Amino acid sequence: MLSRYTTHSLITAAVLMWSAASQAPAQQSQVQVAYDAPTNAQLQPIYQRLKQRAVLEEMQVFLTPLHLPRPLTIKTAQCGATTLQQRPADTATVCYEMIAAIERLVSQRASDRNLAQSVIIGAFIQTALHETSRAIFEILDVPIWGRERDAADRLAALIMTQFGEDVSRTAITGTADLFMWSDKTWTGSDFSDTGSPDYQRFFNYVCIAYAAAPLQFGDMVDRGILPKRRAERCQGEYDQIRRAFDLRIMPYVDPDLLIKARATPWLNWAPPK
Amino acid sequence: MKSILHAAVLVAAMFLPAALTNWAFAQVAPGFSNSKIVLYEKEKGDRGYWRTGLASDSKQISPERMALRERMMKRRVLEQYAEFLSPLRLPYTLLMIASDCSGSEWDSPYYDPDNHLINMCYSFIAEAEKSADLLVQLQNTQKLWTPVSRDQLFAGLFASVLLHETGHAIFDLLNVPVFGREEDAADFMAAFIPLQFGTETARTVIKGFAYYWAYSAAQGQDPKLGTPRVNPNSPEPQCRLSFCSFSDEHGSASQRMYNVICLAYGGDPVTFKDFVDAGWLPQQRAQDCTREYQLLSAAFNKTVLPFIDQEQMKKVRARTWFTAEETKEK
Repeated sequence: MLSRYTTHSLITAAVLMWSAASQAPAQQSQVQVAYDAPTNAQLQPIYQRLKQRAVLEEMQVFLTPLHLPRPLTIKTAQCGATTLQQRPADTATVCYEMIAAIERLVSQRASDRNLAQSVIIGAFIQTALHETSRAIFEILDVPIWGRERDAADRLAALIMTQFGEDVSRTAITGTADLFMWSDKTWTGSDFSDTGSPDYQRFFNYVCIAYAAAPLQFGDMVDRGILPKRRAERCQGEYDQIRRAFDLRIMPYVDPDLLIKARATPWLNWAPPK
Repeated sequence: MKSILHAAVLVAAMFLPAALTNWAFAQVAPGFSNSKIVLYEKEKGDRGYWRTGLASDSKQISPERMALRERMMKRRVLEQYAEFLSPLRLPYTLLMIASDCSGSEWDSPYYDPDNHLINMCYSFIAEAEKSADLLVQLQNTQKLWTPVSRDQLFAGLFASVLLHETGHAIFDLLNVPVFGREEDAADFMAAFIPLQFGTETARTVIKGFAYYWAYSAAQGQDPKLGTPRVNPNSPEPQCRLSFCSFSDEHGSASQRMYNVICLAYGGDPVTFKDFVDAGWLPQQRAQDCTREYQLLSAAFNKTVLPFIDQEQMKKVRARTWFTAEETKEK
């Protein structure tokens, strides 16, 4: 599994705790959050867990440096599918069904509980940042060259890699494991989907992570996980998304608040109960 | 159109910088010149159509390729392409040549960012002619796709590849923010530009592109799960994953075909309705295409349009860029 190669003996277990919640006032954020109650009783435990852990409030604080011309809403909701077909305006929605699917896949594939927990957290961060990126594109009217959902992945990957190796390890590794474990085969007209196959997404995330932190992720090339041919191009891919971010999104980021956000230890791990 | 490209780029980066100090510039038609778009002569009077590859010690091209070079010169391919791009206000000079590239059996045209140079490789044209013959034969016997003529297919394929490489050049020279994957973005440029030039031009370019990738997909070139390559003695790069073939920075053959047909249909549903009717694009994707085209159009308007001279653009739009044969549907 990828985790073995890219994580040290990290994770004792996992409650996601964005510790800055108490340090920065959430009311400054232009991000609104909401947990919609699901009607499907099977999704209730997920809804309760996310709410109890206050994951969205922590995202809200994390995004405080972002000054948007109009509010962005991040919500969790029952969607009827793992993603929403019709996305409400200015809203990033993480579907309970997606979390359920992630948990199902992880329970089948993860070799132990610690790994399972870390993948679930990394995958949640990926889903939330991917959807948030799409909402940011919309609110800032960002010009998108290339496929929009790949663009959201590239922006999510960039964000994951800007907050130190603890954050990127958890987020990138969880994302990569999830996509690696994908059981969907792609043939023929499957490729007409607006989204990319999980296996392509795997390399898109890993490539940006490798370029952002070659010391941290370099073993992925040595171990034959990121093929050399793609690895050679990763610095260019990273520089490109970084430049695009600097041109179109950085003007809406408060640089002082960004420094505070970067100085904050974002992921604290509590021992298992 | 992709695998050979990378080899060619390396060769260009290695050999060209020294070469670019000496040579002369050929001129295009008055009224369509642009001081920042230059046909770059290796030997005086070659008009940018080199008789060699790129390497400093490369030999003169074979008689077969010399004949192809003459056909290109007669068709004024380089000159016309420079004229076509003349409305672009570029902050840096873009060089264009045709050459034998790395001298391989098949090089793809490419953009070299180190030298701001687009190179049309003769070998690609030879291969595109062969592809056109094969695809027309297939179409005539199997009726797989929408009707197409051999000239239309060749012209469209060649133009789409050039436009794709021009996309890379524009992203680089204009410092365009590219949030998606650049190879897809370059395909998007190859779809968007012809859609601004009327039905015939659009159909020729989109068809050439779609046919090529549809055929590649039919030949089994889409990525699929395979056996990990873990033999340390193998010359192939090792890959421990079963899904290494998904690691290409290009989309798969099918994705590239679907993306471009979708953008064409989204931009002009009437002209490209027959593509959807013929089953080139599943209905579910077709529903999204207007939105996808609008996103692309907005991106173009924001990042590229400010660099286009509108007066010159009127002149370019008023011209016919393909011959009658090249837009004939069958």
